Amino acid sequence: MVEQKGKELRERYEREALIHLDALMRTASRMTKSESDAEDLVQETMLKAYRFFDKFEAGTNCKAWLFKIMTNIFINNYRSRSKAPESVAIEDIDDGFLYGQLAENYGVTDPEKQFLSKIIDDDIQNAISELPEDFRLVVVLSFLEGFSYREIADITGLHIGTVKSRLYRGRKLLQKSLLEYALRSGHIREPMN
Amino acid sequence: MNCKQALQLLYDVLDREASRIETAGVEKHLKSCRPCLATYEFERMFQTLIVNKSQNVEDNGILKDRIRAQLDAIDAAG
Repeated sequence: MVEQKGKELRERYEREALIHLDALMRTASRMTKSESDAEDLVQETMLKAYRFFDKFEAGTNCKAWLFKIMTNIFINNYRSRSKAPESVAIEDIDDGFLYGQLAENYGVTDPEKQFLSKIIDDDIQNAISELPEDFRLVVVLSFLEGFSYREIADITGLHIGTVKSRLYRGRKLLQKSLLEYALRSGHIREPMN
Repeated sequence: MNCKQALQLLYDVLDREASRIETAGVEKHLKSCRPCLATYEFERMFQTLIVNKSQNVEDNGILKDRIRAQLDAIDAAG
């Protein structure tokens, strides 16, 4: 009887939890910036989830539940081992939109062709990885995993307003670094004064 | 809805977090405002680009096997 119950739990875990392994790895490798740390983090998450799986309410959002477990482990055990504060010049972030800046400051008339189509995969991955950790977490959960603001608030324990403002700044920082790459590689030219 | 209000809702709309009334208001504004429409389209394309280029998944088969082996150990211990 007990054995039967254990078997059912394991089967349900395989079906509902283990299928999110790839998504967990995708986020974990961006957060730890190391494949082996990401594997350790995901493994720890999956085992912890298994131990508590009988407490997980069937039919609720298993992916969000797993990400919440993983985020907790990440924050407690993995986050910036170097205690150096990640200083971001927040004041630096322009409140305008990139589309307008490209046109007004750089004379870009077709931003899709002159900017977006020139962005390569590596630039995007580097720009994400350069984001300060707090911003990177919400950007990855929203952009890559498609969680709603409410789900991200639940996963991270942040107030929903904080989620929104971090996502906003994260986006602006992403755009800023990709603009810098475009300037460096000469796809867009600095304005002549 | 004016330009300022429409642009304030931009990311809420892109993230599908805006209410139906807000989204409808934005759509109505965009029909008659080309600058806002251009900004919306650019931001949407930017987001799509980031999302699409980040979906690649490595083969995690070895990790999955390792986790399954540990699940077996937990099951065996009871």
